[in-house]
Amino acid sequence: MNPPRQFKLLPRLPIGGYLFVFFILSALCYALIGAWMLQHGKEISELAMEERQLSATSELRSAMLHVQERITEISNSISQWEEARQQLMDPTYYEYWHTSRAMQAGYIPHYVQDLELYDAQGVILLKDHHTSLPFSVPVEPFTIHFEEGLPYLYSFSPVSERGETPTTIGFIGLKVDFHQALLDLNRFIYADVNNIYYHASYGPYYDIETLLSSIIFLPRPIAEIGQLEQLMHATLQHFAIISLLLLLIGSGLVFLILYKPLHALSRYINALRQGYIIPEQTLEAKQFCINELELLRHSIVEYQQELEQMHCSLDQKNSELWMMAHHDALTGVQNRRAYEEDWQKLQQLMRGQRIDLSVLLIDCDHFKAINDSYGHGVGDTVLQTVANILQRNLRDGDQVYRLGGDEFAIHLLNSSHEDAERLATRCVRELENYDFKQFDIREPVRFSVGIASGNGTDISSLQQLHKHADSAMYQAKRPNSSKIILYNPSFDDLSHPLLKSFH
Amino acid sequence: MRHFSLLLLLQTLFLLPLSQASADEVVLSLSNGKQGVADFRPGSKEKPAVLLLHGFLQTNQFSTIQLMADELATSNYTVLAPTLTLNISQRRNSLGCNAVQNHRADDSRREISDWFAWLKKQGYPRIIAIGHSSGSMRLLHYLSEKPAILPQQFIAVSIGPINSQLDSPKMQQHIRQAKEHISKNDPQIDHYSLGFCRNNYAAPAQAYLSYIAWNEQWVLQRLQNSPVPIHVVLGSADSWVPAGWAATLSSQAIPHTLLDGAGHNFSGTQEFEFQELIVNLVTPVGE
Repeated sequence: MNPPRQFKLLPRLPIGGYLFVFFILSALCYALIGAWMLQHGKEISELAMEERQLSATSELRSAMLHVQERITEISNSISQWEEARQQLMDPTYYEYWHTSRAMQAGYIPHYVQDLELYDAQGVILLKDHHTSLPFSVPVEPFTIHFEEGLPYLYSFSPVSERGETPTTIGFIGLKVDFHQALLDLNRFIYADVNNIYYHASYGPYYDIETLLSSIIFLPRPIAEIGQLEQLMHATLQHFAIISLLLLLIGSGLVFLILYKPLHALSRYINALRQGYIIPEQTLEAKQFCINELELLRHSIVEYQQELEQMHCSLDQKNSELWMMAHHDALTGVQNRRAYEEDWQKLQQLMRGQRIDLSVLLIDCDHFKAINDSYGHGVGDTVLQTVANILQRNLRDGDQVYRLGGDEFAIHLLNSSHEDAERLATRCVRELENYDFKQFDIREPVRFSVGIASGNGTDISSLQQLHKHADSAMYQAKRPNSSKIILYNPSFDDLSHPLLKSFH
Repeated sequence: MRHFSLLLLLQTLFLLPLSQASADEVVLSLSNGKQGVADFRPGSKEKPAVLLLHGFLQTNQFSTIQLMADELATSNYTVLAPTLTLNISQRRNSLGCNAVQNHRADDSRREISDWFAWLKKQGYPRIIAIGHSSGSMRLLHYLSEKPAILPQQFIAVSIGPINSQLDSPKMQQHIRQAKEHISKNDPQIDHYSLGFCRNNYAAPAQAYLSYIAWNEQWVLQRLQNSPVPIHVVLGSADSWVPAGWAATLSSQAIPHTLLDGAGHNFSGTQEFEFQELIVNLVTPVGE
């Protein structure tokens, strides 16, 4: 049965992948917020600049009117200047007065480039005098002409005689560098007067409003807007730096408190699965910051400890089972199963090695009669006694096996047949000297030993070693035969049919 | 007694501004065709009128003239302080040395004559003339030309030769220069030295030379031969008059008073002493 299909909200990615996606999303958010702020900042700047343009236009208009008023004041002042009146009455020394007094006495500002006096009919006082003003007073009191691209204001005002019934005694004409006067007489806050351009091809102008329409100028930049833009850029930069720092710190925290514990858990579980845990991977000594992960670590550690206890118990049971399967319950020595397994292992171990091996088969003569005559209890005691004596005479590492009934076997590794014969002799002597009468056995108890020796280099003889030992034991059981017989190949023809069936 | 003092104080407080605020500007069509202006402060007709004449290129608003006018008006004298036109109708401001100085000594003499005539016409037969600096010279010039109307007394304040350095090489050069212009019939303006104008007195030659005769000898001679009683008032610290000028006057038996520590304009701490002196000089004549 297939498991129910679950809806996957998010794809499977490593934590690093999700962090990367989070980085990208954060960067996108930052870019969107930044673009939004810059766009709004730009709109505010444009709006403010439009307002500034209007203010600058108004300011320029006022400044131009102020220049016009100031020129009128200067004209009035000159008209009251007694030296000018003196010239209107008697222009004999007009040339001197014009050059040395009018233009140099500091009476008129420097943006007034020229000054001329006209008589009551509007005719210039001195016709052969070099001047940039017209020879006669024009109709319009104020006109603006362009010369080499710059505006010049021509102003003409009457001079009246002092008294109760003033009559016009002449006129004053002024030529004013309008642009210079504009700069000298005004302080501009909104208009950038350093960037004023005039339509030189147009003119003359008779009023300020018309002149204003022919001027191209820029408003001064608004310092606050520049500061606002700087503030916005600085804010965005700081926001970006802080965000980056927070992301890095967040990533570090995620790495430390999430990724690392998860990785440790993952490695631990993987190691458990593989059955090999290195000390660094153990979770017992670790502490996680996140509660859920800590709970998970506790659960896994406890579960693993329970598993270990179960394994120990199983090992113990296995060991007990193995002992039961490989040992003889009566004598405590290893049984025939153990003998066969060890024999297989020895064969594998010795194959091709220059190692000597001797196999001893020990059998109790007439054991069936003892069993039948004195009971199985006595027989069992005899067998236990034999096993103890054999085991006592062996070297450490040598094993005694009960193959069945009263037959015991011994493997002597690294032992020559002489060593085997000596051991057999010692064991048989001790067995024969043992006091079996204590078990109410009146007859002497005899033992037969067959010995076969081989070498790992001779595989075929090694495989036949048990059979040979059995042949030798068979010979030892024969009447009048030595009780300890070393195998001889001549025994093969005389083998006991049972031995042939053993292997 | 306390009430009387209070009333006296109130009377003084009321009368003082009235006497000073009653100054009128008189515009007079002069015989040279120009219009002259003058400060006129009418006072008691029982007392002689005082004509105050300002100094070189100044006006009747000059501080020394105002000092005297205020004090005399307070003393209930009629005061007329004209401003010489210097060939500028209704001149009300002082002239710079560089301005066109086309006026001559005789022009001023005629204007002074016109103002004397006007005062007499206003009902002031008795006139005391007080000049300051070159104003004294112009009045002296007027007196020396046998005028139709003579003042009762002439007080010459800070009078001294207008050309004290007449013999200096520079002045001699200017005079030669002016005469050369005249010989060439050249009417152009040139720059000379006259009074406090040093090398920048812009005038046609004829106009300049009209004042050249006003040297030390000319002054002393006319003071001695004055047709009316004269009294000279000098400041001991006046640097514009020649050194030892007071001693010279003494040696010539010309009556004078030397105010210790006073300068050419009698400004500063000597103002009150000067005002008192002027009133004291005028009073015997007035009474």
